[in-house]
Amino acid sequence: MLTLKHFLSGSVYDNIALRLVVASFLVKNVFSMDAFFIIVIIFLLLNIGLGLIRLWRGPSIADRLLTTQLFGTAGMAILMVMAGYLNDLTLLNVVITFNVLSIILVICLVQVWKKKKGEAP
Amino acid sequence: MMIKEIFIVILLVAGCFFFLAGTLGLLRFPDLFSRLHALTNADNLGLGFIAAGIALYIASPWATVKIFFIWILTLLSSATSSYLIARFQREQEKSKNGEEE
Amino acid sequence: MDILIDSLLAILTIYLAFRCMLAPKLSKAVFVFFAFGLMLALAWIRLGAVDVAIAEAAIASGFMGVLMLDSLRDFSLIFSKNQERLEETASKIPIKKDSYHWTTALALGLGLILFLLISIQAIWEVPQGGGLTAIAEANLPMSGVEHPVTAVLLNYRAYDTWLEIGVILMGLLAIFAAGGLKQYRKPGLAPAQDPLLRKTILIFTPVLFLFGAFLLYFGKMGPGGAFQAAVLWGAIGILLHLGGWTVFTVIPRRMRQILVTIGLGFFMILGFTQMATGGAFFEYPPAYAGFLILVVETLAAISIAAALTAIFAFLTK
Repeated sequence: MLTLKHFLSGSVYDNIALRLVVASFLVKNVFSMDAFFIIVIIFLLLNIGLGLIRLWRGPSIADRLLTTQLFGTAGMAILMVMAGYLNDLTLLNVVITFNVLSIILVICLVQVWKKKKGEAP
Repeated sequence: MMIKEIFIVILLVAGCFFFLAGTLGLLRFPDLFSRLHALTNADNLGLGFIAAGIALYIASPWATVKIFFIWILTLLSSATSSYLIARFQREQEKSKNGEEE
Repeated sequence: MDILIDSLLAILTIYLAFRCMLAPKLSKAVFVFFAFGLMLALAWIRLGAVDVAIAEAAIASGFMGVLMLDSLRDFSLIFSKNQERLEETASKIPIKKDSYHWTTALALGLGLILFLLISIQAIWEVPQGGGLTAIAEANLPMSGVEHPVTAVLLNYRAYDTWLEIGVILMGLLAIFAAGGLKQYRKPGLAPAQDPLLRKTILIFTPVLFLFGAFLLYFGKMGPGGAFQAAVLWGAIGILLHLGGWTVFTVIPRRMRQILVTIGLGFFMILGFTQMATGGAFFEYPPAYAGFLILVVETLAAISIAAALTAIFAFLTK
């Protein structure tokens, strides 16, 4: 008979058939797609939070602009995962809006700041 | 059904890994050009993986076309913007050095 | 599990708002504001308002972003010119640290207490049963569109939307008046030398146009509409202006004036026609409502886009 001790010590997992049984039990009863999506969203949000450090420190204006690129890409990823999670396809339109407008900031910086002489205030 | 979900999980985890790599590169690399390289490469790959996973999950042809379009546009805009930022920074540094001399 | 995302979003939004206000440098504040805009868009989606999320994405990360970058550059020019003088005056001003902190703390505390009281009262008085949602959805077949938000914006409360277009026109006039003829007569930006930049702008122009048109039409049955489409179309003008194409001066002057005012004008004519034929102000006949709303939205989007382009082109000369 199997007891908890066998599971904890790991001796159970030597048996391939039992291993499959345990894995399928875990997948069927513990794992759910929604929980996984939420974990992914939180992970990406924390990624954005990490990127804030570079925004705060970034010595030049280009570094700061780079973090907005990160925010844009990570934000698009979050929105896509949310579209899957909420089953709402209209969220993809928000993604495209972010997408087509993300380059405008870069072009603006490059063209408008050409004749800049001073340091950023 | 099961196999599809396993694929989705693998794709999303791979996407998250590349996002983390990009962010760490942004934080840890010493100068703008290497940061640019880390971020624009890794993030696009991460977004591609996540887009593929979500397209598989939603499984509607119209949404798949849209997601593919999003990814192509991101590749285009990200590649261009990384080039533009790099050139901008080099010109800034050049003009600064020129003023000092 | 939802509460995890929501609380993280709420914390990040409020944290970024504080960071934005308390930033020691203007450039930090501007870029923190972009991150704040992204968080706000995500928060709107969590609240179920995809329309507002698209508007937030388009306006905060698109139009506001370029305006802020432009003014940041102007500020940096002013600062670098007057830096010595500024530092001199700054060192002369005595700072009374203690009293300053006291008054700030007092004002903040009072404000917080007031805010708490008002929010408690607001929560107390929240109407039970979803407010006006039921009425808006019940009248949807009469409004000519299938999406309740668009119905509210362009049919039930068309008056508000009409005035909003007027506000944008007023903003344009105010900026022209403040800049004066000197700014008006300045030449535009020099043409971009970089072939890659030119090519990218030319690739993005049709994409922006198509997606704007899609959002405009999709507003009938889902999130989207005139304002979102207008920002995307305005982005075309902004991109072309940045690439050195003389967008606005190519068009004859009369035509420019018509472009900027046609949204407001057509909306107004429509409203008064309804009044003259015996209806209320902005009461569309149900048979033509869908078509009329589409025309009004298209013209409004064109004139908002023209106004946004004009504002940006005028400011960045």
